[in-house]
Amino acid sequence: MGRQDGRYRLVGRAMLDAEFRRWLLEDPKAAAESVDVTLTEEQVKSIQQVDPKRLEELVHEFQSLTGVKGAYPW
Amino acid sequence: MPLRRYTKGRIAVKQWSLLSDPEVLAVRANCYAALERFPPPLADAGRRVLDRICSPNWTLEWYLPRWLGYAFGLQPEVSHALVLSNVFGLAYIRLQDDLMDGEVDQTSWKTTTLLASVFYHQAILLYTQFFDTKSPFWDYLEQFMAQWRRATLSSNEPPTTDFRSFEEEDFLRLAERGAPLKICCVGACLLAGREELIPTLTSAVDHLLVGAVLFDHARDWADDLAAGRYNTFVAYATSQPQVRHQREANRLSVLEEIYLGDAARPYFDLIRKHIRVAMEKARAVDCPDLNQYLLLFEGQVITYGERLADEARARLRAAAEQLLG
Repeated sequence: MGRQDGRYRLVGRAMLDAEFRRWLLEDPKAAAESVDVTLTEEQVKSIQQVDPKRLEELVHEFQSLTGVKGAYPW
Repeated sequence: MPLRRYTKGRIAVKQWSLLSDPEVLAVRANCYAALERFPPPLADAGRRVLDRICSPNWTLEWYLPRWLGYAFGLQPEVSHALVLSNVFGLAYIRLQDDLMDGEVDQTSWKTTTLLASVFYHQAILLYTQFFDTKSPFWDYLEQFMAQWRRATLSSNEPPTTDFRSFEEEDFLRLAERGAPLKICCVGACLLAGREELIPTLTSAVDHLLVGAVLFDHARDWADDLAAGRYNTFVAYATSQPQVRHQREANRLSVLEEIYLGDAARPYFDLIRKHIRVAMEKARAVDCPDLNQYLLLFEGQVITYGERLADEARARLRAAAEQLLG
């Protein structure tokens, strides 16, 4: 899935790699380019405006995926 | 490192209801009756074990001998005895797991040990009605119990081969803790005079068990990782050793595979491959119920893999919206 969309590749990396996340917050363009993604100015602004506390909550939520429940078709 | 239990997450299939099926209820009643002959502490503990294993997770143990009995045209009372023996055998193995996992406290250790021997004895006693001492049945029984013993003894140890380089024999080794299930297969084949089917049927069960173990690990990877148990799903995502100091890195590797890889699709395809092999072999045995079970199992694996990918996609999308606007 992430392979098809650079945005998802970038976001996935940011959600799973703390160091990359810090870099992305500090220098969104450079961090994004390191994974072959070019950000628009709006996207750069959006990253710069993200609330760090909210971001950590988002990371926690993202990383809580361990499986899926109720996947039984019968 | 705690033991990973004997195929604890065997697939549950609602259409075979253990709580309302008259034949299952009859087997349970016979189990209870057999326990009545023992002193109350043993009988009471035995009933509790039987209640515990009368769960959809153990559908195959309760039904496989019966399905084979139908397929081979065995008398209902013979099939019933095969189920009964299988259930006693399962109870024995569950108690062994409890003992080895250190889940039995000092006060009930004696009862549990004695009860395990009672269950094993009951299982064997039923087979002695059907097979004399010269029957090949006993060699098979020893072979499968030896597989189970070997697998149980080494269940604390991660495999010596990296999961990504697993050969057929490595996968089949994953099935060895479920090897006692093959005893009823041999019993049914011999009683039906279909000895020639034993290799095909037991191989089908081996592949089914491999699929069940792999699927179990896909669903339990986070718990296993936290508990320090070797897990094939983790090993699929990363070849790093599954040791304490590597735990966090391994957790992130699994998440990376789910989110940024292919949502573990090749892993689920691998499970399906083993189920398919089991199906092909089971077809040769001509046991429609077993085939149906395998079909449902495959459907469950497909559904799980798809839902995991959907969930990952949805979370990625949500995170992208939050971060990039």
